Amino acid sequence: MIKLENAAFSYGDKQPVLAGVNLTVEDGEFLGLIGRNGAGKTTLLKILMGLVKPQVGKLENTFRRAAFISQVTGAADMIFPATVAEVVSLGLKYKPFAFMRRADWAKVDQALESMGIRDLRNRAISELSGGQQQRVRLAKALISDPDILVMDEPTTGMDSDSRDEFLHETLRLNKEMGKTIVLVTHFLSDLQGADRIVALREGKIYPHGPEHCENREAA
Amino acid sequence: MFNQILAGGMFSYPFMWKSLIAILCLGAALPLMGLNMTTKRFSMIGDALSHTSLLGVAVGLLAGVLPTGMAILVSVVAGLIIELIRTKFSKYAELALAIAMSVSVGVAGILTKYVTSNQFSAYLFGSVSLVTLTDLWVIIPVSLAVIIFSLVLYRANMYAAFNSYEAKIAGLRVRLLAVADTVFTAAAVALASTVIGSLVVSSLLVIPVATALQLTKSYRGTTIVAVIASLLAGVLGLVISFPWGTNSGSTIIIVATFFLLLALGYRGGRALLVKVRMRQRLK
Repeated sequence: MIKLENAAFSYGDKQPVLAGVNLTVEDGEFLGLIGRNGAGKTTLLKILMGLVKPQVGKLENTFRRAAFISQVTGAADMIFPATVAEVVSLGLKYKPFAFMRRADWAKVDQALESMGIRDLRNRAISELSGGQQQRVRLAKALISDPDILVMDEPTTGMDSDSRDEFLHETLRLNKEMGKTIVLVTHFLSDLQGADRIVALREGKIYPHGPEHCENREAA
Repeated sequence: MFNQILAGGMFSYPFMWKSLIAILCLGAALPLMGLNMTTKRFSMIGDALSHTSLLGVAVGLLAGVLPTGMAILVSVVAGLIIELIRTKFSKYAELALAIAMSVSVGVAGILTKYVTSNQFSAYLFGSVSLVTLTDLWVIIPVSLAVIIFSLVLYRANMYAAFNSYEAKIAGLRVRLLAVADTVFTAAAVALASTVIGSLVVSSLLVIPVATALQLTKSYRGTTIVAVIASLLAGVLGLVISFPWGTNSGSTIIIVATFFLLLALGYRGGRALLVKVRMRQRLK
């Protein structure tokens, strides 16, 4: 569980990006977070992941390990000269002076297997379709066996088929594998399977209406 | 020509051995840093640093201190300034490179007026006779340091190049890594100004990498092929430049470019073959 209480954050003397945010992410939950550009969504994610400390407020995090998926920025990382296995191996916890061992490659194969892309192991990442590349990104996130997956606008720049495939896999990770998901997006349609949706507006969190959410019990 | 080589003619000169050792060290170190910079889409930094190394050479010759040492010092300082500008004003990163390049050449041009030695022009395109024993005492440990740095931080560099944001979130000190990359690249480029030449050294940073990118799919394969292509081009260029009496650096670059053309031809040929097979299947 992540519990953020009364968090406030501002960059320099500017108006606070977050002004008294209260947010709880329960174990096994699929939480959707929406908000306009500049609303402070990425800042909030950084605080939830413990990368940035709120200037005011308290953060409690009981998750063992978190994995992060950023947006595909112009797909530049997907023309990188690397095989699928090499990209997935980047998700393993990095230790300097440590080279990949047989056990590490076994973990890579296991992550590829869980995403059903074992046969793509030695293909160049640039040769894959958009949907396959997104599965690789998920496998990379899963290899460290995280209990929470935090995604920052992961569908930006994807075509509609790739986006559907990515969201389908995300939902599977949540419902079948029990992974807690926090997904930040501009598009409500990305959050069809979310348990709860919240909106970030003017530095505060507001519950988003239940009419947009299929699996939700209460707003 | 080859009779001359086989008979040991050219390697009976001690300076040829020094050049060969230098080229083996730099030939392995340069593409490793080149791969880092190319995959981080910052390959032009080699050009900027090589021009600043020229300024270091001019200062060194003028002050009567080891030109290679001064070239390293000036290039590393310039590299750190470029990195600082790149971090603080990311939109102006290219501008920082252009300024560093033109200011260095401008100042070096003025300083050469006061340099009595005619060695300066040899540093532009490299010369086999430039590498001294003192140079080797710098080239060998610095090259080894670059190689060890690249191996030890192989995965970190790969992650930072793949997606620096995710690498940072995964706990990698991406900014520190970028500074270390720049410092090691600056040192390797400055060292190479003797045997390869300041004006052409950046080509050995990127051409072997470009060659490797045509032939392999993996990051590991790209690393290995780039180093092999660079070493082959270095040794072959050096060997050819002696009997032909050409600048060693220029010859090395021509050989490296020839390898790149071969690789492009191989890749183009394979693509054509696939196309022909597909057409045959469809008939």
